[in-house]
Amino acid sequence: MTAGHLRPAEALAAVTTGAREVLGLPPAGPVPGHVADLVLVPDSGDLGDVLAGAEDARVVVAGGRVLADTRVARSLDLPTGVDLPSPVLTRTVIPTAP
Amino acid sequence: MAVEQFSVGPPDGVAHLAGVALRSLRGVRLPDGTVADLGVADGRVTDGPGAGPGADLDATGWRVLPAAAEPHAHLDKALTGPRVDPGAGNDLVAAIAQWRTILPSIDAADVAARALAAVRRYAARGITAIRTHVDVPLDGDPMRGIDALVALRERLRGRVTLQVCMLAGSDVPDAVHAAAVTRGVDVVGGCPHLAPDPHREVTRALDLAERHGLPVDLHADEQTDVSLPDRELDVVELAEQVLARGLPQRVTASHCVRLGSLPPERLDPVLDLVARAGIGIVTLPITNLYLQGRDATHLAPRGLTAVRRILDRGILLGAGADNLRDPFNPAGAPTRSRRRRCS
Ligand SMILES: [Zn+2]
Repeated sequence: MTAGHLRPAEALAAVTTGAREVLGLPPAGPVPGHVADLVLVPDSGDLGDVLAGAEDARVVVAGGRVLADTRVARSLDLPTGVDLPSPVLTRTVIPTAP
Repeated sequence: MAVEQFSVGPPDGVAHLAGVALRSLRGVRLPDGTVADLGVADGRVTDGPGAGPGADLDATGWRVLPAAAEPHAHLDKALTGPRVDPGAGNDLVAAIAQWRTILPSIDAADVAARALAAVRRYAARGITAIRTHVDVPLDGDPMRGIDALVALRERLRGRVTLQVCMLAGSDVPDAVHAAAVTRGVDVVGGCPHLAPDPHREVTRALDLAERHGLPVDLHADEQTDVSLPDRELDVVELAEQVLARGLPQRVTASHCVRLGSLPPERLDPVLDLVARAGIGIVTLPITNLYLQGRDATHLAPRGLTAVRRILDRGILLGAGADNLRDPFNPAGAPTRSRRRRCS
């Protein structure tokens, strides 16, 4: 996508359907009749997050059997939401000199 | 007998599912955005809920995608990065020279151990099928790499699909070249772009493929320089021979970096020929961004093949990562995302 300037669907195809066809393998994916070689990723965010590799967990299925299950446990000293007053708001409450 | 019930659980939960055979995937989001149940039987996805043997897996909160394939790896070289100077800044010729300095110390057990460690990384990232090229070294037993990877392929059968492609250099004698293909390889490879006589190298690869009915996957045009006449491009030589022979098996040209350097008026007739020959192309951006363009002082060429025009011409395109932490790419990683970002 970044280097080859392909659209997201084309980039995905190049590493999935295109790559399998080059190898002479039957198609795989969540489609009836296809080989059950699948990847599960958390259903948060959009497909762009998946393409950007933002997801931390993935479960990999090969031939209908779980091949790999990866989770990440993370401890982060940062807020999950913005709970601090913004600099603009702070400035508005500074009292002016009489 | 009660059907086993599993739940994928939260993304930051405990990883616990490896080895579980499935008969269904429940409540999973499909690529089209809908949520559905999928069945699994005999290794394939079925319509409706699975009824055969295996566990039901509740995948609520998860999205399902097709697994990826790595169409071009070098598992015999993988993870040798720590044994060489990562600061050498190799181009293709220097990487080969660096690889050859460590090759004498590499035996079959070493190849097998590193290859398996690499496959574990690929599998964890979502890659379930890998084609690996493997050298036929001239010092020591020339078959040690092939034998190690063919044995690993059998060991992993049913879990990961491994294809072994022999990669004999032009300096490998004909007798050794012909013997290598009888060791259980899946694909005939070669590297005509490095041979003093590319025509001869393509010819002996296709002769062997024809005799054994095997598919072909050649390293081709892994340079950015296009000062040569177009008829001397590896991919042109390959396409012409495939057409002349009427070769029915799948033929692949890997790298094809030079195509990215050709202006449209030179590129289009070449791609017409490739399309007529039914050749597939594998692009390997990460490694070629590392290896190519090192002699440029500015505006360095990017080492990519002409992916846009290849797709627009309807030519089969696969993308891979090529080398994994070795002299050809000290920082390679088998990440689906990295490969997508760069493909
Ligand atoms: Zn290669």
